[in-house]
Amino acid sequence: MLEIRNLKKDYKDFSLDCSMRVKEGRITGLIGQNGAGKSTTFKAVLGLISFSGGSITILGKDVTEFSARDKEKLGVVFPDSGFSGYLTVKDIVPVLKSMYEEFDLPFFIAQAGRFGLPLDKKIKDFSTGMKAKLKVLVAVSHRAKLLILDEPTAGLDVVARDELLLMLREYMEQDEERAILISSHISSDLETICDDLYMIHQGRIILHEDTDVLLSDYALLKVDPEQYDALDKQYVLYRKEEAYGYSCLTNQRQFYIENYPQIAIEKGTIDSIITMMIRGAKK
Amino acid sequence: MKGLLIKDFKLLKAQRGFFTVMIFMTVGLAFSVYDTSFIIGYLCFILPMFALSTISYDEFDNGNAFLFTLPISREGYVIEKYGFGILLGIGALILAVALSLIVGSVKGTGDFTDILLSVPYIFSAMTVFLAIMIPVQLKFGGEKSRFVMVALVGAAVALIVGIAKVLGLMGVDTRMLTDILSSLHAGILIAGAVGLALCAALLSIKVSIAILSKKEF
Repeated sequence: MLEIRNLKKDYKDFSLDCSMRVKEGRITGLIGQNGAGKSTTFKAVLGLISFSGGSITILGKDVTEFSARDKEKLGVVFPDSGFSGYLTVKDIVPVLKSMYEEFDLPFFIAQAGRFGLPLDKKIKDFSTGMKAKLKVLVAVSHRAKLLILDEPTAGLDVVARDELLLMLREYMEQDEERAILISSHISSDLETICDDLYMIHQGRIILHEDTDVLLSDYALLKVDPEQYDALDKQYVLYRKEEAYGYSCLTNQRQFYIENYPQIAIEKGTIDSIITMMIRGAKK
Repeated sequence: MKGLLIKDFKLLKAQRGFFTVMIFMTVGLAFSVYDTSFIIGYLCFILPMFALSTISYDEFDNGNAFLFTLPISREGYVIEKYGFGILLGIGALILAVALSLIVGSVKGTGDFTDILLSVPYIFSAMTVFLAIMIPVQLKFGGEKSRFVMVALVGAAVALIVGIAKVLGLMGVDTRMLTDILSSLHAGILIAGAVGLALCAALLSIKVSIAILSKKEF
Protein backbone atom coordinates (compact mmCIF):
# COMPACT_ATOMS: atom_id res chain seq x y z
CA MET A 1 0.00 0.00 0.00
CA LEU A 2 2.76 2.39 0.97
CA GLU A 3 6.50 2.03 0.85
CA ILE A 4 8.95 4.74 1.86
CA ARG A 5 12.57 4.07 1.02
CA ASN A 6 15.31 6.27 2.49
CA LEU A 7 13.17 9.37 2.36
CA LYS A 8 15.40 12.40 2.93
CA LYS A 9 14.35 15.92 3.74
CA ASP A 10 16.68 18.54 5.14
CA TYR A 11 15.73 21.63 7.09
CA LYS A 12 18.10 24.05 8.79
CA ASP A 13 18.04 22.26 12.14
CA PHE A 14 16.41 18.96 11.27
CA SER A 15 17.00 16.16 8.82
CA LEU A 16 14.73 13.25 8.01
CA ASP A 17 15.96 9.87 6.83
CA CYS A 18 13.15 7.40 7.03
CA SER A 19 12.08 4.05 5.57
CA MET A 20 8.83 2.31 6.36
CA ARG A 21 6.09 0.16 4.92
CA VAL A 22 2.34 -0.10 5.34
CA LYS A 23 0.86 -3.41 4.25
CA GLU A 24 -2.65 -4.24 3.10
CA GLY A 25 -5.09 -5.17 5.84
CA ARG A 26 -2.96 -3.63 8.57
CA ILE A 27 -2.99 -0.58 10.78
CA THR A 28 0.52 0.75 11.09
CA GLY A 29 1.40 3.29 13.74
CA LEU A 30 4.09 5.92 13.67
CA ILE A 31 4.98 7.11 17.11
CA GLY A 32 7.41 9.75 18.19
CA GLN A 33 7.79 12.96 20.15
CA ASN A 34 6.68 16.32 18.82
CA GLY A 35 9.17 17.36 16.15
CA ALA A 36 10.44 13.81 15.58
CA GLY A 37 9.51 13.90 11.89
CA LYS A 38 6.04 12.33 11.79
CA SER A 39 4.29 15.20 10.01
CA THR A 40 7.22 15.74 7.66
CA THR A 41 7.00 12.08 6.62
CA PHE A 42 3.24 12.34 6.10
CA LYS A 43 3.51 15.53 4.09
CA ALA A 44 6.16 14.02 1.82
CA VAL A 45 3.94 10.97 1.27
CA LEU A 46 1.07 13.26 0.29
CA GLY A 47 3.15 15.38 -2.09
CA LEU A 48 2.76 18.50 0.05
CA ILE A 49 6.50 19.02 0.41
CA SER A 50 9.46 18.19 -1.80
CA PHE A 51 12.20 15.82 -0.65
CA SER A 52 15.86 15.60 -1.46
CA GLY A 53 16.34 11.83 -1.68
CA GLY A 54 14.74 8.41 -1.57
CA SER A 55 11.45 7.27 -3.01
CA ILE A 56 7.82 6.85 -2.01
CA THR A 57 5.47 4.33 -3.61
CA ILE A 58 1.83 4.83 -2.74
CA LEU A 59 -0.91 2.43 -3.93
CA GLY A 60 1.56 1.06 -6.48
CA LYS A 61 2.55 4.45 -7.95
CA ASP A 62 5.51 6.68 -7.40
CA VAL A 63 4.39 9.71 -5.40
CA THR A 64 5.54 12.07 -8.18
CA GLU A 65 3.08 10.36 -10.56
CA PHE A 66 0.21 10.22 -8.09
CA SER A 67 -2.61 12.17 -9.76
CA ALA A 68 -5.60 14.09 -8.43
CA ARG A 69 -7.79 11.13 -9.45
CA ASP A 70 -5.56 8.72 -7.51
CA LYS A 71 -6.05 10.85 -4.40
CA GLU A 72 -9.69 9.70 -4.32
CA LYS A 73 -8.32 6.45 -2.88
CA LEU A 74 -6.84 8.28 0.11
CA GLY A 75 -8.39 9.60 3.27
CA VAL A 76 -6.29 12.12 5.15
CA VAL A 77 -6.42 13.77 8.56
CA PHE A 78 -4.09 16.50 9.79
CA PRO A 79 -4.22 17.79 13.36
CA ASP A 80 -4.01 21.47 12.46
CA SER A 81 -5.68 21.59 9.06
CA GLY A 82 -9.10 20.92 7.60
CA PHE A 83 -12.03 22.51 5.83
CA SER A 84 -12.48 26.24 6.45
CA GLY A 85 -14.14 26.93 9.78
CA TYR A 86 -16.60 29.23 8.03
CA LEU A 87 -18.26 26.26 6.34
CA THR A 88 -20.88 23.96 7.85
CA VAL A 89 -21.16 20.17 7.49
CA LYS A 90 -24.05 20.81 5.10
CA ASP A 91 -21.75 23.02 3.01
CA ILE A 92 -19.04 20.41 2.66
CA VAL A 93 -21.40 17.61 1.59
CA PRO A 94 -21.76 18.82 -2.04
CA VAL A 95 -18.02 19.56 -2.12
CA LEU A 96 -17.20 15.96 -1.16
CA LYS A 97 -19.91 14.61 -3.44
CA SER A 98 -18.42 16.30 -6.47
CA MET A 99 -14.83 15.49 -5.53
CA TYR A 100 -15.19 11.79 -4.69
CA GLU A 101 -16.92 9.48 -7.13
CA GLU A 102 -17.50 6.97 -4.32
CA PHE A 103 -18.65 9.40 -1.67
CA ASP A 104 -21.23 7.58 0.46
CA LEU A 105 -23.76 10.25 1.36
CA PRO A 106 -26.19 8.10 3.41
CA PHE A 107 -23.25 6.73 5.43
CA PHE A 108 -21.85 10.23 5.98
CA ILE A 109 -25.17 11.65 7.17
CA ALA A 110 -25.89 8.63 9.36
CA GLN A 111 -22.45 8.80 11.00
CA ALA A 112 -22.72 12.57 11.48
CA GLY A 113 -25.95 11.92 13.38
CA ARG A 114 -24.43 9.04 15.36
CA PHE A 115 -21.49 11.15 16.50
CA GLY A 116 -23.60 14.22 17.21
CA LEU A 117 -22.17 16.47 14.50
CA PRO A 118 -24.59 19.32 13.80
CA LEU A 119 -25.15 19.89 10.08
CA ASP A 120 -25.91 23.61 10.22
CA LYS A 121 -23.28 24.85 12.66
CA LYS A 122 -20.09 26.48 11.41
CA ILE A 123 -17.10 24.16 11.90
CA LYS A 124 -15.20 26.90 13.74
CA ASP A 125 -17.83 26.71 16.48
CA PHE A 126 -17.38 22.92 16.90
CA SER A 127 -15.67 21.52 19.99
CA THR A 128 -12.21 19.95 19.54
CA GLY A 129 -13.78 16.49 19.69
CA MET A 130 -16.41 17.32 17.08
CA LYS A 131 -13.80 18.77 14.74
CA ALA A 132 -11.66 15.64 15.08
CA LYS A 133 -14.61 13.32 14.48
CA LEU A 134 -15.63 15.30 11.40
CA LYS A 135 -12.11 15.04 9.96
CA VAL A 136 -12.05 11.28 10.40
CA LEU A 137 -15.60 10.95 9.08
CA VAL A 138 -14.61 12.85 5.93
CA ALA A 139 -11.63 10.51 5.52
CA VAL A 140 -13.68 7.30 5.83
CA SER A 141 -16.73 8.32 3.78
CA HIS A 142 -15.50 7.73 0.25
CA ARG A 143 -14.29 4.12 0.37
CA ALA A 144 -10.63 5.09 0.47
CA LYS A 145 -8.05 2.30 0.23
CA LEU A 146 -5.52 3.96 2.50
CA LEU A 147 -6.02 6.32 5.40
CA ILE A 148 -3.16 8.60 6.38
CA LEU A 149 -3.97 10.03 9.77
CA ASP A 150 -1.60 12.44 11.46
CA GLU A 151 -2.44 12.79 15.16
CA PRO A 152 -6.19 12.24 14.70
CA THR A 153 -6.70 11.94 18.45
CA ALA A 154 -4.75 15.07 19.47
CA GLY A 155 -6.46 17.02 22.22
CA LEU A 156 -9.37 14.60 22.65
CA ASP A 157 -10.91 13.29 25.86
CA VAL A 158 -11.15 9.54 26.46
CA VAL A 159 -14.72 9.19 25.20
CA ALA A 160 -14.08 11.11 21.98
CA ARG A 161 -10.89 9.08 21.43
CA ASP A 162 -12.77 5.82 21.83
CA GLU A 163 -15.43 6.92 19.37
CA LEU A 164 -12.79 7.89 16.88
CA LEU A 165 -10.89 4.61 17.22
CA LEU A 166 -14.22 2.79 16.80
CA MET A 167 -14.77 4.60 13.51
CA LEU A 168 -11.35 3.39 12.34
CA ARG A 169 -12.00 -0.22 13.38
CA GLU A 170 -15.29 -0.22 11.51
CA TYR A 171 -13.57 1.22 8.45
CA MET A 172 -11.07 -1.66 8.47
CA GLU A 173 -13.76 -4.30 9.01
CA GLN A 174 -15.60 -3.31 5.84
CA ASP A 175 -12.84 -4.33 3.42
CA GLU A 176 -9.73 -6.47 3.87
CA GLU A 177 -7.81 -4.57 1.21
CA ARG A 178 -7.66 -1.39 3.24
CA ALA A 179 -4.84 -0.05 5.38
CA ILE A 180 -4.21 2.79 7.81
CA LEU A 181 -1.07 4.72 8.65
CA ILE A 182 -1.67 6.58 11.89
CA SER A 183 0.59 8.75 13.99
CA SER A 184 0.30 9.85 17.57
CA HIS A 185 2.38 10.89 20.49
CA ILE A 186 -0.14 9.21 22.78
CA SER A 187 1.02 5.62 22.90
CA SER A 188 -2.12 4.11 24.42
CA ASP A 189 -4.11 5.10 21.33
CA LEU A 190 -1.76 3.17 19.12
CA GLU A 191 -1.32 0.19 21.48
CA THR A 192 -4.97 -0.66 21.19
CA ILE A 193 -5.43 -0.26 17.46
CA CYS A 194 -2.17 -0.86 15.58
CA ASP A 195 -0.89 -4.14 14.18
CA ASP A 196 2.66 -2.85 13.97
CA LEU A 197 4.50 0.22 15.13
CA TYR A 198 7.36 2.34 13.92
CA MET A 199 9.13 4.62 16.36
CA ILE A 200 10.71 7.76 14.99
CA HIS A 201 13.22 9.90 16.81
CA GLN A 202 15.12 12.92 15.47
CA GLY A 203 14.11 12.03 11.93
CA ARG A 204 15.23 8.37 12.11
CA ILE A 205 13.20 5.20 12.53
CA ILE A 206 14.63 3.62 15.66
CA LEU A 207 12.31 0.65 15.99
CA HIS A 208 9.80 -1.36 13.98
CA GLU A 209 7.93 -4.18 15.64
CA ASP A 210 4.53 -5.89 15.73
CA THR A 211 2.48 -4.40 18.57
CA ASP A 212 1.82 -7.89 20.03
CA VAL A 213 5.55 -8.60 20.18
CA LEU A 214 6.27 -5.20 21.70
CA LEU A 215 3.76 -5.74 24.46
CA SER A 216 4.55 -9.40 25.13
CA ASP A 217 8.30 -9.78 24.60
CA TYR A 218 9.67 -6.38 25.57
CA ALA A 219 10.26 -5.70 29.24
CA LEU A 220 12.11 -3.46 31.66
CA LEU A 221 14.55 -5.15 34.01
CA LYS A 222 15.04 -3.14 37.19
CA VAL A 223 18.29 -4.18 38.77
CA ASP A 224 20.73 -2.94 41.41
CA PRO A 225 24.42 -2.72 40.48
CA GLU A 226 25.18 -6.22 41.80
CA GLN A 227 22.30 -7.80 39.90
CA TYR A 228 23.39 -5.87 36.85
CA ASP A 229 26.92 -7.26 37.04
CA ALA A 230 25.55 -10.78 37.28
CA LEU A 231 23.06 -10.29 34.44
CA ASP A 232 23.43 -12.02 31.08
CA LYS A 233 23.35 -8.93 28.86
CA GLN A 234 23.05 -10.57 25.45
CA TYR A 235 19.34 -9.62 25.21
CA VAL A 236 19.66 -6.18 26.78
CA LEU A 237 18.98 -3.56 24.12
CA TYR A 238 19.27 -0.33 26.11
CA ARG A 239 20.47 0.55 29.59
CA LYS A 240 19.69 3.57 31.72
CA GLU A 241 21.14 4.57 35.06
CA GLU A 242 18.62 4.97 37.83
CA ALA A 243 18.77 5.87 41.54
CA TYR A 244 18.51 2.19 42.46
CA GLY A 245 20.98 0.96 39.83
CA TYR A 246 19.91 0.36 36.24
CA SER A 247 16.84 -0.20 34.17
CA CYS A 248 17.42 -2.33 31.09
CA LEU A 249 15.24 -2.80 28.06
CA THR A 250 15.02 -6.31 26.66
CA ASN A 251 13.07 -7.95 23.87
CA GLN A 252 13.38 -11.39 25.53
CA ARG A 253 11.19 -11.02 28.59
CA GLN A 254 10.63 -14.76 28.98
CA PHE A 255 14.38 -15.47 29.09
CA TYR A 256 14.86 -13.18 32.10
CA ILE A 257 11.69 -14.40 33.86
CA GLU A 258 12.99 -17.97 33.64
CA ASN A 259 16.63 -17.31 34.47
CA TYR A 260 16.45 -14.38 36.89
CA PRO A 261 13.34 -14.90 39.03
CA GLN A 262 14.75 -12.61 41.73
CA ILE A 263 14.87 -9.42 39.65
CA ALA A 264 12.00 -7.00 39.09
CA ILE A 265 10.68 -7.37 35.55
CA GLU A 266 8.14 -4.86 34.32
CA LYS A 267 6.09 -5.61 31.22
CA GLY A 268 6.96 -3.26 28.36
CA THR A 269 4.64 -0.45 27.50
CA ILE A 270 5.17 1.70 24.46
CA ASP A 271 5.92 4.71 26.65
CA SER A 272 8.56 2.88 28.67
CA ILE A 273 10.15 1.45 25.52
CA ILE A 274 10.31 4.88 23.90
CA THR A 275 11.78 6.47 27.01
CA MET A 276 14.47 3.79 27.18
CA MET A 277 15.29 4.08 23.49
CA ILE A 278 15.57 7.85 23.66
CA ARG A 279 17.14 8.36 27.08
CA GLY A 280 19.01 5.09 27.51
CA ALA A 281 22.39 4.03 26.20
CA LYS A 282 22.52 1.37 23.50
CA LYS A 283 24.21 -1.86 24.50
CA MET B 1 -12.47 21.75 -9.89
CA LYS B 2 -16.27 21.66 -9.52
CA GLY B 3 -15.83 20.77 -5.85
CA LEU B 4 -13.53 23.74 -5.30
CA LEU B 5 -15.99 26.07 -7.01
CA ILE B 6 -18.78 24.78 -4.78
CA LYS B 7 -16.55 25.33 -1.73
CA ASP B 8 -15.83 28.92 -2.77
CA PHE B 9 -19.49 29.67 -3.44
CA LYS B 10 -20.31 28.23 -0.01
CA LEU B 11 -17.70 30.54 1.52
CA LEU B 12 -19.30 33.40 -0.39
CA LYS B 13 -22.68 32.38 1.02
CA ALA B 14 -21.18 32.45 4.51
CA GLN B 15 -20.38 36.14 3.93
CA ARG B 16 -23.80 36.97 2.49
CA GLY B 17 -24.43 39.62 5.16
CA PHE B 18 -21.46 41.63 3.94
CA PHE B 19 -22.52 41.36 0.31
CA THR B 20 -26.12 42.33 1.05
CA VAL B 21 -24.91 45.48 2.82
CA MET B 22 -22.60 46.19 -0.12
CA ILE B 23 -25.42 45.91 -2.66
CA PHE B 24 -27.68 48.20 -0.61
CA MET B 25 -24.82 50.68 -0.36
CA THR B 26 -24.34 50.50 -4.11
CA VAL B 27 -28.02 51.22 -4.73
CA GLY B 28 -27.80 54.15 -2.31
CA LEU B 29 -24.73 55.44 -4.12
CA ALA B 30 -26.41 55.05 -7.48
CA PHE B 31 -29.21 57.32 -6.35
CA SER B 32 -26.87 59.91 -4.88
CA VAL B 33 -24.50 60.33 -7.85
CA TYR B 34 -25.44 61.62 -11.27
CA ASP B 35 -23.55 59.10 -13.36
CA THR B 36 -24.91 55.63 -12.53
CA SER B 37 -22.25 53.89 -14.65
CA PHE B 38 -19.96 54.49 -11.66
CA ILE B 39 -21.61 51.59 -9.83
CA ILE B 40 -20.64 49.19 -12.60
CA GLY B 41 -16.96 49.84 -11.99
CA TYR B 42 -17.46 49.76 -8.23
CA LEU B 43 -19.27 46.41 -8.05
CA CYS B 44 -17.07 44.78 -10.68
CA PHE B 45 -13.95 45.39 -8.61
CA ILE B 46 -15.36 44.71 -5.17
CA LEU B 47 -17.05 41.36 -5.94
CA PRO B 48 -14.20 39.59 -7.79
CA MET B 49 -11.94 40.58 -4.91
CA PHE B 50 -13.71 37.85 -2.98
CA ALA B 51 -11.82 35.35 -5.17
CA LEU B 52 -8.66 36.72 -3.51
CA SER B 53 -10.28 36.45 -0.10
CA THR B 54 -10.95 32.74 -0.70
CA ILE B 55 -7.20 32.25 -1.20
CA SER B 56 -6.76 33.75 2.29
CA TYR B 57 -9.55 31.54 3.65
CA ASP B 58 -7.78 28.49 2.18
CA GLU B 59 -4.46 29.52 3.74
CA PHE B 60 -5.99 30.34 7.11
CA ASP B 61 -5.16 27.83 9.89
CA ASN B 62 -2.87 25.91 7.53
CA GLY B 63 -5.96 24.86 5.55
CA ASN B 64 -3.98 24.33 2.35
CA ALA B 65 -2.24 21.24 3.74
CA PHE B 66 -5.58 19.45 3.97
CA LEU B 67 -7.01 21.03 0.83
CA PHE B 68 -4.23 19.64 -1.35
CA THR B 69 -4.78 16.10 -0.06
CA LEU B 70 -8.24 16.22 -1.65
CA PRO B 71 -8.50 14.97 -5.23
CA ILE B 72 -7.37 18.24 -6.80
CA SER B 73 -4.14 19.26 -8.52
CA ARG B 74 -2.25 22.48 -7.97
CA GLU B 75 -2.98 23.49 -11.60
CA GLY B 76 -6.67 22.77 -11.04
CA TYR B 77 -6.66 24.95 -7.93
CA VAL B 78 -5.12 27.89 -9.81
CA ILE B 79 -7.50 27.61 -12.76
CA GLU B 80 -10.46 27.40 -10.38
CA LYS B 81 -9.45 30.67 -8.68
CA TYR B 82 -9.37 32.51 -12.02
CA GLY B 83 -12.64 30.86 -13.03
CA PHE B 84 -14.25 31.84 -9.74
CA GLY B 85 -12.97 35.42 -10.05
CA ILE B 86 -14.26 35.74 -13.62
CA LEU B 87 -17.62 34.18 -12.68
CA LEU B 88 -17.96 36.68 -9.83
CA GLY B 89 -16.96 39.46 -12.19
CA ILE B 90 -19.58 38.45 -14.77
CA GLY B 91 -22.19 38.14 -12.00
CA ALA B 92 -21.23 41.58 -10.70
CA LEU B 93 -21.35 43.00 -14.22
CA ILE B 94 -24.87 41.69 -14.86
CA LEU B 95 -26.07 42.90 -11.45
CA ALA B 96 -24.40 46.28 -11.83
CA VAL B 97 -25.68 46.91 -15.37
CA ALA B 98 -29.21 45.93 -14.29
CA LEU B 99 -28.99 48.22 -11.23
CA SER B 100 -27.51 51.00 -13.28
CA LEU B 101 -30.22 50.77 -15.93
CA ILE B 102 -33.01 50.58 -13.36
CA VAL B 103 -31.71 53.50 -11.30
CA GLY B 104 -30.92 55.44 -14.49
CA SER B 105 -34.44 55.01 -15.82
CA VAL B 106 -36.00 55.91 -12.44
CA LYS B 107 -33.91 59.08 -12.26
CA GLY B 108 -34.13 59.73 -15.97
CA THR B 109 -30.33 60.03 -16.24
CA GLY B 110 -27.63 57.98 -17.91
CA ASP B 111 -27.26 56.85 -21.46
CA PHE B 112 -28.12 53.15 -21.99
CA THR B 113 -25.73 52.86 -24.94
CA ASP B 114 -22.88 54.36 -22.94
CA ILE B 115 -23.55 51.98 -20.07
CA LEU B 116 -23.58 48.94 -22.33
CA LEU B 117 -20.46 50.13 -24.20
CA SER B 118 -18.55 50.45 -20.96
CA VAL B 119 -19.17 46.75 -20.14
CA PRO B 120 -16.36 45.16 -22.22
CA TYR B 121 -13.84 47.75 -20.96
CA ILE B 122 -14.79 47.14 -17.35
CA PHE B 123 -14.68 43.38 -17.94
CA SER B 124 -11.18 43.74 -19.42
CA ALA B 125 -9.97 45.97 -16.57
CA MET B 126 -11.40 43.53 -14.03
CA THR B 127 -9.67 40.59 -15.75
CA VAL B 128 -6.34 42.45 -15.74
CA PHE B 129 -6.89 43.30 -12.07
CA LEU B 130 -7.37 39.61 -11.25
CA ALA B 131 -4.44 38.68 -13.49
CA ILE B 132 -2.18 40.89 -11.35
CA MET B 133 -3.71 40.18 -7.96
CA ILE B 134 -4.04 36.37 -7.98
CA PRO B 135 -0.33 35.57 -8.46
CA VAL B 136 0.60 38.30 -5.93
CA GLN B 137 -1.83 36.82 -3.41
CA LEU B 138 -0.57 33.26 -4.04
CA LYS B 139 3.06 34.31 -3.73
CA PHE B 140 2.88 36.65 -0.76
CA GLY B 141 -0.30 35.66 1.10
CA GLY B 142 -3.03 37.94 2.42
CA GLU B 143 -0.96 40.26 4.63
CA LYS B 144 2.12 40.89 2.54
CA SER B 145 0.26 41.09 -0.77
CA ARG B 146 -1.31 44.43 0.28
CA PHE B 147 2.15 46.00 0.61
CA VAL B 148 3.25 44.39 -2.63
CA MET B 149 0.18 45.85 -4.38
CA VAL B 150 0.94 49.35 -3.10
CA ALA B 151 4.51 48.96 -4.35
CA LEU B 152 3.28 47.63 -7.71
CA VAL B 153 0.85 50.52 -8.21
CA GLY B 154 3.61 52.98 -7.28
CA ALA B 155 6.00 51.33 -9.72
CA ALA B 156 3.37 51.33 -12.50
CA VAL B 157 2.63 55.06 -12.00
CA ALA B 158 6.36 55.84 -11.93
CA LEU B 159 6.84 53.81 -15.10
CA ILE B 160 4.03 55.59 -16.98
CA VAL B 161 5.20 59.05 -15.85
CA GLY B 162 8.77 58.06 -16.75
CA ILE B 163 7.82 56.87 -20.23
CA ALA B 164 5.76 60.04 -20.84
CA LYS B 165 8.73 62.20 -19.75
CA VAL B 166 11.18 60.30 -21.95
CA LEU B 167 8.81 60.56 -24.91
CA GLY B 168 8.42 64.27 -24.15
CA LEU B 169 12.21 64.77 -24.10
CA MET B 170 12.46 62.91 -27.39
CA GLY B 171 9.95 65.34 -28.84
CA VAL B 172 7.16 62.76 -29.27
CA ASP B 173 3.71 64.25 -28.82
CA THR B 174 1.85 61.92 -26.41
CA ARG B 175 -1.47 63.49 -27.35
CA MET B 176 -0.96 61.93 -30.75
CA LEU B 177 -1.36 58.49 -29.16
CA THR B 178 -4.70 59.37 -27.57
CA ASP B 179 -5.79 60.90 -30.89
CA ILE B 180 -4.95 57.66 -32.69
CA LEU B 181 -6.83 55.63 -30.06
CA SER B 182 -9.94 57.79 -30.21
CA SER B 183 -9.98 57.67 -34.01
CA LEU B 184 -10.14 53.85 -33.98
CA HIS B 185 -13.47 52.07 -34.43
CA ALA B 186 -15.13 51.12 -31.13
CA GLY B 187 -15.22 47.45 -32.20
CA ILE B 188 -11.46 47.37 -32.73
CA LEU B 189 -10.86 49.04 -29.38
CA ILE B 190 -13.15 46.61 -27.58
CA ALA B 191 -11.56 43.59 -29.30
CA GLY B 192 -8.11 44.98 -28.44
CA ALA B 193 -9.00 45.54 -24.78
CA VAL B 194 -10.61 42.12 -24.33
CA GLY B 195 -7.78 40.42 -26.25
CA LEU B 196 -5.12 42.10 -24.12
CA ALA B 197 -7.00 41.18 -20.93
CA LEU B 198 -7.26 37.53 -21.95
CA CYS B 199 -3.56 37.43 -22.84
CA ALA B 200 -2.76 38.93 -19.43
CA ALA B 201 -4.97 36.29 -17.78
CA LEU B 202 -3.29 33.41 -19.64
CA LEU B 203 0.18 34.68 -18.75
CA SER B 204 -0.94 35.22 -15.18
CA ILE B 205 -2.31 31.64 -14.92
CA LYS B 206 1.09 30.32 -16.04
CA VAL B 207 2.87 32.44 -13.43
CA SER B 208 0.41 31.37 -10.70
CA ILE B 209 0.86 27.67 -11.52
CA ALA B 210 4.65 28.11 -11.32
CA ILE B 211 4.29 29.88 -7.93
CA LEU B 212 1.96 27.25 -6.48
CA SER B 213 3.91 24.25 -7.76
CA LYS B 214 6.91 25.42 -5.73
CA LYS B 215 4.94 25.95 -2.52
CA GLU B 216 5.29 23.58 0.42
CA PHE B 217 2.42 23.10 2.83
